[in-house]
Amino acid sequence: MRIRDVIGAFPGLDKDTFKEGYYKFTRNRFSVIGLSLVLIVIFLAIFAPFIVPYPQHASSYVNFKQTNKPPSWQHFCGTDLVGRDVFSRIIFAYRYSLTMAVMVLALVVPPGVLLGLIAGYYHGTWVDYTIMRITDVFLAVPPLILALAVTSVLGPSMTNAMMAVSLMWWPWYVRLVYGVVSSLRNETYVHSAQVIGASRFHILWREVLPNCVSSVFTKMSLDVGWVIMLGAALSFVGLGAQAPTPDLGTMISDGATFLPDLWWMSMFPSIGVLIVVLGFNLLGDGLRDLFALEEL
Amino acid sequence: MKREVVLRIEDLHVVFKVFKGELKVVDGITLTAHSGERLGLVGESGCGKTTCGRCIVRLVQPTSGRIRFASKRLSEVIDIAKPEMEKWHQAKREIQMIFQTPGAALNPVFSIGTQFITALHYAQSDNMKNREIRRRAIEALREVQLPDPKRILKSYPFQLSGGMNQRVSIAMALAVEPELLIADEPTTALDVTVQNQILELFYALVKGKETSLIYITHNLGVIREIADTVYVMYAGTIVEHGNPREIFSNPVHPYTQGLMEAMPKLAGGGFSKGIRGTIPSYFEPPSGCRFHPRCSKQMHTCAEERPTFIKVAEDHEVACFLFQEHDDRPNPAS
Amino acid sequence: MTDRILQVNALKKHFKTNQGTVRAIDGVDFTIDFGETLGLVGESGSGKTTVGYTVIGLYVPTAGDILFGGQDIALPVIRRRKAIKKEIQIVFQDPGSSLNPRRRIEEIIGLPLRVHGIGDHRNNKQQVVELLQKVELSPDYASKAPTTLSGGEQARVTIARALATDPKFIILDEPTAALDVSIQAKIITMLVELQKELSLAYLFVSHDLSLMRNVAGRVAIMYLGKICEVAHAAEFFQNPLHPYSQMLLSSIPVVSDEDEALKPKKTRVVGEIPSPVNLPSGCSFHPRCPKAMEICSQVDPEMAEVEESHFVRCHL
Repeated sequence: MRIRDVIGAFPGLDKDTFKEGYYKFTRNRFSVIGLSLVLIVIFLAIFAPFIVPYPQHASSYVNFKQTNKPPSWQHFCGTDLVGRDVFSRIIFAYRYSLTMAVMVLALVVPPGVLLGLIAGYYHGTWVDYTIMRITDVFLAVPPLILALAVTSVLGPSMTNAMMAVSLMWWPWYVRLVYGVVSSLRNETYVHSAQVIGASRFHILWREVLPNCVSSVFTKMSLDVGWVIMLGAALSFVGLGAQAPTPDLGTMISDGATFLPDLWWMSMFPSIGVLIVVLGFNLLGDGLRDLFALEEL
Repeated sequence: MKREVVLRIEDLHVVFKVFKGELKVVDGITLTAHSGERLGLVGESGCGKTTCGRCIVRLVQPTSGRIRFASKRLSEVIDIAKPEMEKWHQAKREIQMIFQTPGAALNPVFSIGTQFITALHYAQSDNMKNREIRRRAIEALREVQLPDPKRILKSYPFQLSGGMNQRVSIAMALAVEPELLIADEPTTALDVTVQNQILELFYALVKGKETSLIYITHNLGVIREIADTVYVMYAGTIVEHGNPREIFSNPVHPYTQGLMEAMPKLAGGGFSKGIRGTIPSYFEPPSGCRFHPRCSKQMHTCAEERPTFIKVAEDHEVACFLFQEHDDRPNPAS
Repeated sequence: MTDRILQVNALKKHFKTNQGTVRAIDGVDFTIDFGETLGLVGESGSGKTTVGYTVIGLYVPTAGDILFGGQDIALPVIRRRKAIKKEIQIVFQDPGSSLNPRRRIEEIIGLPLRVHGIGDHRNNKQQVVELLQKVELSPDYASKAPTTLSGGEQARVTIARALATDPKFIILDEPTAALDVSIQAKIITMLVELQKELSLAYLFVSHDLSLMRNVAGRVAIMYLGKICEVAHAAEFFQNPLHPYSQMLLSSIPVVSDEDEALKPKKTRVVGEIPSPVNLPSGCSFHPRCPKAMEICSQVDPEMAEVEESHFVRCHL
């Protein structure tokens, strides 16, 4: 029943809908570019061990004969301090970045949306005020500081970094959904459901929620980019992934001290971040167009 | 009493390209407006009347056809569909438009005064001082019978009622003294009593100034009140035109007849079940006469050719094969 | 046991806003019998839609009671008993916005069936098809999305939905206001047929008097939250008594000379509807009334039966 509900958000799901969706999405060249970038990144991340030239470089590996080599045919992005292939490490780093993004969103979106739904539906009552004030408190704390605080208390690691990011991310979803639902609850079809006698659960879950889906999915796509950047920022200051795990932020940080001579060590990871974030941003725009209601 | 022609639309076609194909919205409209005339363009929603109106002010670019505007003031005739931009910029002043939703044409974040002055400022060819413009604005507001014009100038659109906003729009449009005024369903969003007052206003204003009025609406009753000439539109084509009283008491085109029968009358007696069928798709509109699939009197020719206009009475023309040389065989598909 | 299905007494609904109290409904009484159509007519700001919304329970009355089949139902719709909700339904004004664009027609019509346990999940489809047929839509409309339907089709769907629980009373809130004349004719004809077939009572809220002439059994005219005249349709249109009714009738644009002759003469439309926050004293119509007398600005008139079943609220 549950999956049906989500699919129910797209009525008349059939060949025509896909064709129209395709058209709506592909009208904007950039959305297609975004989708392509994202797909490439995901593909690379999943199949990393099989594609990458030097998979073993992703873990403990040193080769002091190959250190600090500039980009060449054997090492597309050069090598780093201890002789590891930068390119391979970037691809592997994508794995961790994407995993982190997925986990954070999985942790953050369901409760955020749920709270937003409830707060929005009971707009103007104590339920609204309680939920939103708590949300406001979390929003008031600067994200990086909160993340720093959490990781320094719990110790630096990828998992802890993820938790820290989650903690300061969920209020945004509450806010977003709260705004959408507050206006939706005055829609005539909601009144109609009330008059018919539908339960509040039904109204929230099956009348209101499907109309929030578009905003939420769009935001999720954009958020992947943000989470990855935040994760990179945390790693950059040393609070995220630890050596020898390849991570975009750590790689940039390690290489930063050697700019501008050994430029490839920071440059390519940065470009790596750029590509994945840009891809998701463009995809987010495309999703927004895709979910726009029929207008002919 | 032949008056001069102010506007002549010739064989106008408008086609919109969208994902699913091409929407042939306006399909060969020919229309003539004379100086000082009140012309009604009537049709149901989706028939293309608004699109027509918008073509005249160049909000929509026609696909083909001519819109010839003969400006007395400029002593020029220009084709709005393909004008020389210089001349069009001058002529723009002579054609004004009033839109359907009273609040929509007015910017909600600026006061009426600001908008009025901005509008007049751009419309003036001579450089008038603000003071002079303001005086003109107040005069214009008085003409549309708005009490206390100075207060109105200071107000914002949301502070005024729909009727008042519409009067402001009318005042703004008439303040530049255009030769042609196009009103696109200006009273549809208003109450009946307010509509009545606005119609009287139009009547008076247009009469006094030799301005021509093209009034677009779906309400036949309004046409009867205000128009000297009416053009009945269906699915992008004109089916009947002439004097409103004549046409309404003696409708000859099956569509017009169907429309009249479907209207509830004050005298009671019920009304018809409507016109069978639905408005055709503009992607693949019916061949020949666009009304033929819904027409109870359709004949063979109706699906083949487009009927031309035939005069059936004084100031009453209709485009229908019932009134001209035709193939008498009934259409097997009817 | 009376013939009355609905009785509204001294109904008031006030809204508190920043500008003051909006007296949307300010003392309204009317009754509707089984199978009858009462036309509630007024312009914007008259409160007619508010009346409909209050009767259906979307607003809670500030004062007064609403008796449905003898029981007081002046509660918010969420608190009403399911059995009551089953009997009284509403068709909203803009069919497009009353249908959730993200759901399919069969789900939309199926909702009342599910809520009230009419038929089970399997039979649902069958009943949805039956309801669609009642409003003259073919079964393949069931799987469509509302946005792909035309205005007339959407209106039919909202009517089918209202009929789903087999109600006895339907509030029609300007159901055809957004539709063209030829489509309106079809929908209204259908509504009238359904009324006969299913013995429905209608509260028909509208601003279109010509339409009411042909549809309503009785007509009630509202102005600024109060009813100023109630009468049988034929009687009303031949003999409108209240000055506002006359003003309203005289301002309708009509198409035929015959109709034109029926409009009250010598009545001009004056002024605009005042803001409901700042109501005139005494009779709320007096500033615009051509026959205003001194008493009109002081005392609010009471409803009186001037002729057989013809009630007017006026000092004349």
